[in-house]
Amino acid sequence: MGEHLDGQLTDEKLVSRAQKGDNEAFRELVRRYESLVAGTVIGMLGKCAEADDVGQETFIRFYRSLKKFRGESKLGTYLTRIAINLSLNQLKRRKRRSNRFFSTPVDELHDLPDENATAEPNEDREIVQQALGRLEIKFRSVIVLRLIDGYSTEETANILKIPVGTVLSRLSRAQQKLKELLTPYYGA
Amino acid sequence: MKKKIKIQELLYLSFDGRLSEEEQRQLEDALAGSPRLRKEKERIETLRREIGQQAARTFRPFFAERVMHTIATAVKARNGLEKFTKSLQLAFRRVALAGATAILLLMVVNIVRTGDLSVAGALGLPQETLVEVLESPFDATVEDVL
Repeated sequence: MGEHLDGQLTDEKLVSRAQKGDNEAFRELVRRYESLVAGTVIGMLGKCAEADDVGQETFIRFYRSLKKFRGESKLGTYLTRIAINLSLNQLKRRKRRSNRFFSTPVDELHDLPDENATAEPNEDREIVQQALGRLEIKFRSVIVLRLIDGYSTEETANILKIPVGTVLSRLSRAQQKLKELLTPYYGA
Repeated sequence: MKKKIKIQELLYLSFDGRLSEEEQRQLEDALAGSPRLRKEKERIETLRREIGQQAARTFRPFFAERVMHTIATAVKARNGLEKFTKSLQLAFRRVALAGATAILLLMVVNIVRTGDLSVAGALGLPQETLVEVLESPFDATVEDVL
């Protein structure tokens, strides 16, 4: 415990160590999968403080279920499943809040920039993020899993618990919509 | 028009490797004969590439440290709660034991005093039936009370 982990250990070894209470092993897993979980959560919620909270919650849920984790699915897929479900729950909460207190549409709330996001000006990234935020949630989720996280259509269907045919049709429609939104920026 | 839509659908589906040989051939023929469709294909490729490349993939700095801190805080809180629950259980056990001993002592005193070995006697309950209780009128006067 407390030793420096050089990143050479396999996920299985790290999980096994973490299950025995090695917090350094768990920290290494968080570092290893931060970008995957961030891609999913920020893709779904936008770059905002609540995305960071949902990212943390993803790893905390994983920590709590460590003892039950048997490695039947890949760790990345397991974490993505938690991240996407928590993001969808957060979007539902956001929608309820929005309906209750504001007249602002949910899509506009999605575009609210995080105060930290302005510290890293990246116009292209902002444009893509805003375009994603304009998609309906069901379309956004397939785009995030397929194009950002890089899952196959089968894996995407499995994570979202929908048929492969539905994933394909949603992908097709989502790309058409994104093309309309992004063509002004990336040329005709 | 219908054929155009079909080809466009095939074009989108082709990126996810879902075409039959026949559909693949149809798409290739259409691409070979249409500069516009080739341009469309390029556009979709750019779109997919840009989305993949431009997506944000980091949280705020020191993310792992924040996760570990939250976990440590939660574990500490849980341990504190467990400790509190255990001490509460211990305290209740002592109180319960003392209470049971007191009841037992009272029962022994009652039995010795009345010589009645029944449960009612041990518990010091009056030897009256329900009928007797109901039939006896409450005839206390104000003087009795005062």
